[in-house]
Amino acid sequence: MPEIRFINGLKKFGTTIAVQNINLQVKDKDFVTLLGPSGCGKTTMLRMLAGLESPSEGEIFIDDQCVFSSDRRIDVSPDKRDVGFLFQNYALWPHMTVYKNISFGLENLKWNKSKIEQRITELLELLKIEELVQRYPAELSGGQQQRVAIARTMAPNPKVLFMDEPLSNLDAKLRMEMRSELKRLHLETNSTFVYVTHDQLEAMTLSTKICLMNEGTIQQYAPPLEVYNNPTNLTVADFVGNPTMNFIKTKYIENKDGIIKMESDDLSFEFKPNTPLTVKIEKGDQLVIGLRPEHIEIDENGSMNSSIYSTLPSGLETVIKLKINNTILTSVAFGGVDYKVNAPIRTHFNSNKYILFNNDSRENFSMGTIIVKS
Amino acid sequence: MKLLNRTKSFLRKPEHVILLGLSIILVYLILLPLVSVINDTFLVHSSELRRIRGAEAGDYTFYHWIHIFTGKFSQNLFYKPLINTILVAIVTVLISLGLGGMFAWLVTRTDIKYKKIISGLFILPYIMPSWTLAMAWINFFKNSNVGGAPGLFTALTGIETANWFAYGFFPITIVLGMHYAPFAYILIGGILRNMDANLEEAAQILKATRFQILRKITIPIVLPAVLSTFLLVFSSAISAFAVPAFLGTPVRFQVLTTQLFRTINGTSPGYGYLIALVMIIIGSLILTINQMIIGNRKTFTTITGKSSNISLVKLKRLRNPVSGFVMMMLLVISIFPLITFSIESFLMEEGNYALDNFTSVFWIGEGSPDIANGEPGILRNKYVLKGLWNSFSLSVLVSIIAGTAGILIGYAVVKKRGTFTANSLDKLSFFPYLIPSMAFGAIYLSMFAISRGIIPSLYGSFTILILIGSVKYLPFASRAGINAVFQLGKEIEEAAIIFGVSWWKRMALIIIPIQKASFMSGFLLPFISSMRELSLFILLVTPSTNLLTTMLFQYNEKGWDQYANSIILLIVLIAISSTFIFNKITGASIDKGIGG
Repeated sequence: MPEIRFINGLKKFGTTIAVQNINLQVKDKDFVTLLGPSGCGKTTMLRMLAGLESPSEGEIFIDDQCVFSSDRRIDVSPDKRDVGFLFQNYALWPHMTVYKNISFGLENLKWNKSKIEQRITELLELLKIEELVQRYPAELSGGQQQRVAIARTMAPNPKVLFMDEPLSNLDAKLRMEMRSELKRLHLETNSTFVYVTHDQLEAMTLSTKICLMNEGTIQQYAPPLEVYNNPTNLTVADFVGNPTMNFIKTKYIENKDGIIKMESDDLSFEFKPNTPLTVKIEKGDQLVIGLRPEHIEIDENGSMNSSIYSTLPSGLETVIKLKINNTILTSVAFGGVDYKVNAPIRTHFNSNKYILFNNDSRENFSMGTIIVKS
Repeated sequence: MKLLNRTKSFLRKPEHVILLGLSIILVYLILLPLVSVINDTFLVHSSELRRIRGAEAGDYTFYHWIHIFTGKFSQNLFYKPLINTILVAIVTVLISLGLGGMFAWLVTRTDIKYKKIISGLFILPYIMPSWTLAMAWINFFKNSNVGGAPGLFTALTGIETANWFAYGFFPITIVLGMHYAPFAYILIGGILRNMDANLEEAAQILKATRFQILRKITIPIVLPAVLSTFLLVFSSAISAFAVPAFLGTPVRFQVLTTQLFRTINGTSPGYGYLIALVMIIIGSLILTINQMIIGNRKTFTTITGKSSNISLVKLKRLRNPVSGFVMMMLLVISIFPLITFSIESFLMEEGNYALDNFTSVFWIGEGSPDIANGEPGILRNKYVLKGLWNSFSLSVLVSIIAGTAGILIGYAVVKKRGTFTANSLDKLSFFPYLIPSMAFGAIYLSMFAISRGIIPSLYGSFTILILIGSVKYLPFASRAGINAVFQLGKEIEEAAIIFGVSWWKRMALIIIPIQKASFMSGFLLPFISSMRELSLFILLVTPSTNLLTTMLFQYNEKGWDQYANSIILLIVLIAISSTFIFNKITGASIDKGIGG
């Protein structure tokens, strides 16, 4: 059962710290995405797991075998870790045909000829690129190169597959298509995937678990919907979701009978936590309320008066910017609806998934319902 | 135990082994000789005993330092040649930059005709040994003032050429300028070709005039490259030996290199080593300045993009005359010298261009006592054939050693980029470029004249020629190697590492095949350079290790001009044809290297 554990990982390049405090456990058959803005250390982390880079400190276990330990001076080379690695630029060998690109690794593993041929046929079929077998990489389109790279990586049946932004070089349509292919591949091959991306939609749709990183540390490691609905801090909340979450900065007034009262510049709020608070709030604390666009409902019978600031209909859904007093909020409605600018409209806040963050620590400390008063 | 384990795991990575091994070798072959030459400037040499009274050979003395810099003869010994050298270098740079820059602009930015042929022909003077042009000049313009028969020009026109025109400063700068013009052409042309046309077009749209664009956009962008070309040509001109030797000696026009040759080959090697040291310092200074300029040129990153749609300057009515003139000029520079060599090599009596005076005796004659002490024609002359074989095998070996080391250095330096050892190896492998050839020869002479430790005395052996050639031309190969591996990116190799492909296989089946053309230019440049090199080897050859070039020099000194002319024709033909063959087989081309 391939399970990957990275304990107390640290990587320095010279004096700059690339990643630190890394503790990550990838379970068998997981599809984990390392998600984060560029430069957050996700690629470095993946390369350390694969053995292409050595951590400065920490331990890595794959399948309960220690493949790296800074204390015990263990550093198993990538080829002995039984992993596959899919590169961002595919790294196809330009002087070899598709067939040779795939067979080269297998020949090196001393597979016999008939077995190699059989495996390649199987892969070409799986990835639907049978007709490309004698071509050179330069004669392939981006999507085809991508498939060949996947075939090459999958060929020796690695227990774990590492992928470094494999879809970032494809156009939007092809990317959509390859996403579903990858998801299917994950199920069909029964292997463990670790996947780096900066595209939160990719992470949401593909993975069983997201590891969200920022500035070299892990921010949250949880299933996609958990990350979406209950982000651990403002960074995560801001990074995940499109359109992004609404944030309203407020000042804490009082906590009366479990109801937290706050004020922004032109609105006042009453927040009722779903579960009793475990943290104490001090008077004068800055709090941030996070509201997902889909939790701001447009409803003729809504309790709040507001006006339309702008609408962005895309057919499938419509992003609506609302104005309540001087506060602008983003909402989203299903289907294509269009409103006139400045038209009055009524809104409703009737979800129990609003989140309260501390503005200083940026931590999420409660989820609950909300009443807004102008 | 822990240390042992660490060492073991350190050495398991091939890039570590390469870094360590080559660093040790290069320190021995480059830095140590440098120390040795400094030491030699303070030593009393046995041939100097007569002048330095009361000293024993091997004693330490300030004699050389005092005499060179402050002595009675220091003017003639050092300062005059130094000033000559610098003046020659400056004028050479101006000529080659003007000529090369103009050609580069004409070819990349105008609708001049015959672009392909111009490009091809213009590289020729660079492939040929620099003194081909010098000898052509002598063949054509020599006069009888200095002794000997008059040249073609006098024979055709009856006008006796003036001394200043035939020998010394004037022809030296013209010839060197023409020799290095292709170098300027390659560098400046490369920048002009790669410069994003949008940069100029953006200015054009803002209603800038052509002249404004040239002054405010094009020149500032090209300037760092021009400056860098300036310095590289300058340092090459300083270390030029053969041209001043051919054209300057008849009128006693001395530069540092000729002075170095005279003193080391004569009775005062101490002076020679000191001159060598001065030249190394000048060379290092220039190249340091160059590094600073290149390091600061942020502009360079913006000079990318496609340039296919660049709008060419229309020469209009001038198109035909300019194209014709440029072609004529090229024929004079590149083809004409070859013609004079063939004519001169067939003349029985020099200076007599009548038809019945033509003979093939200097090519295939058996040799008779009344011609040049019975020396047979060069194609039957066993010494010449031996020299040919020596030159050829030397070039092949140097090319293989330097080229291979270049690939290894490229691999290790890129792989460990940013580490101290990688940076040091990178710099060390470039260092021989800073050392003028003649001075480098002097260094090796001093270092390997006696046996040291387990290394026997190498003077007079073929090994020392291979050694010095490989080290001197390593910069070409290591630049080519570093660029090639750098362009490749690490993923290509990592994709194979994942499968457990061994290092040898990765190199042989992936890295080298993909970047074949770039790596091969790392083999080609050392080959061509050793084939045509004179000053690097002249101090180190002995009769048994004579090369074509050094024989040519000796024939010339003896005044056996016909032999010299036929040998130079032979060298040029070998250099050009092997470049051509190499280019056809591997795709490597001369303009990919840095030149020198």
